[in-house]
Amino acid sequence: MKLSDLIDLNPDLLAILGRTGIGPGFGEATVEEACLGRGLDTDTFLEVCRVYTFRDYVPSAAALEKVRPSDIIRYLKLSHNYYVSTALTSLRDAINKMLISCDEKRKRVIFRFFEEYEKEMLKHFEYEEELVFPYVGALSSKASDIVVPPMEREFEHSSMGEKINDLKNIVLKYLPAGSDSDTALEVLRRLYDLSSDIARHTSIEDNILLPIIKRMESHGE
Amino acid sequence: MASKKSLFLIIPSMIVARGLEAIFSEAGEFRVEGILSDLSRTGESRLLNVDADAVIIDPSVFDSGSRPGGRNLLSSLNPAPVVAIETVLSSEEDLKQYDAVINLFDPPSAIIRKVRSAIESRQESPRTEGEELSAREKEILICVAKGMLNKETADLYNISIYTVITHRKNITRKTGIKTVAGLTVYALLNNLIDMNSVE
Repeated sequence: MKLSDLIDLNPDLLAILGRTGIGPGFGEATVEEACLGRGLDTDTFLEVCRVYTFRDYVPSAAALEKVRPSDIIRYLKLSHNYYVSTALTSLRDAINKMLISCDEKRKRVIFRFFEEYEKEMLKHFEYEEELVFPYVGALSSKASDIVVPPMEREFEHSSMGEKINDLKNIVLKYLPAGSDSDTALEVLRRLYDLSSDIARHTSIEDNILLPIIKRMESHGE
Repeated sequence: MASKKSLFLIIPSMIVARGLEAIFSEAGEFRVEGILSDLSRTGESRLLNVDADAVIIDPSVFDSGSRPGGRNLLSSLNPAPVVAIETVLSSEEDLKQYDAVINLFDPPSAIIRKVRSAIESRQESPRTEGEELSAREKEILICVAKGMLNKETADLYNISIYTVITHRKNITRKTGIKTVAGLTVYALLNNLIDMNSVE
């Protein structure tokens, strides 16, 4: 299948392109050719596409066998970069602009809530990048000195999902007087986008990465 | 009189189902919308789509393992109040989850009364309250925003801890806000608490 046709079928997949290094301008390349050109495993790329396409998609054990752990890690890292350097910063700017003519007290209350959420996200990314991802790397290279991270058997995303949802409701339902409503709509669109993007990101971690870790652990023993 | 209230029956015994249907049709104020003899997959989807004022179920359609969670399963499918009819001996725990319990030996008048009050009790709470927070819910919200424990809140207002939890659930249902930090923002934006009380 041509990559351009795949994107045409589901434009949500554009989000993935940026995080796999496949930029637009790929001509008539098939999905496989485009992946090869970037040193990506096609099956892994397609699994990520499926998560972004089908709600509640959980890959089968057979599908997971084909996934290349290093590509998943690379993908997750690049998504973190996107959240930190693009999504959160533009959300921050938009919230600032939305509240610019609000009274100082209300502005601070909402902004502080956003900052708490942001801090929690950053902490979570840091934990994964410093402990979980290197652990997966060590597992797949069968290194002898593996440091097992103090890991919960799940990634503890629930409160982050709740916070972004709360922020959505606060802006949608309880926006203080004096806020700029055009920017508020932009903030809402960004919040909806970010929350669905993160839901898929979470699903990749919980339904692809975690089972792979478990499989590698049991093979090692 | 207003239009007849519609009932949906989930009862394996045809004798019981038809008997109830006869009692309701004689009483005139109810109409039996449909009867299911079990809760198969097609049954579940029917229940999901039916607009009934009340569901009457024989809990023996659930096997003993799923019986304690029976009421929850039903409310996930349909918001109507659920009345149980006890055909086989059931534990008190299992029956307590329902809005009312009909006994096989109840006279028709008692059956009608039980179903009627189950429907009425359901209508009172959400419709009169609306979606605005009640005065008590606002008080509870203030406690949450101040970081008080459920136990402390219960003691302050002399209510049970379960009542506090119910209020908190309703607050979250109405506002759509789940986290304590989010509820605090709500309380501040709506002038329920002063900035200084949370610093």
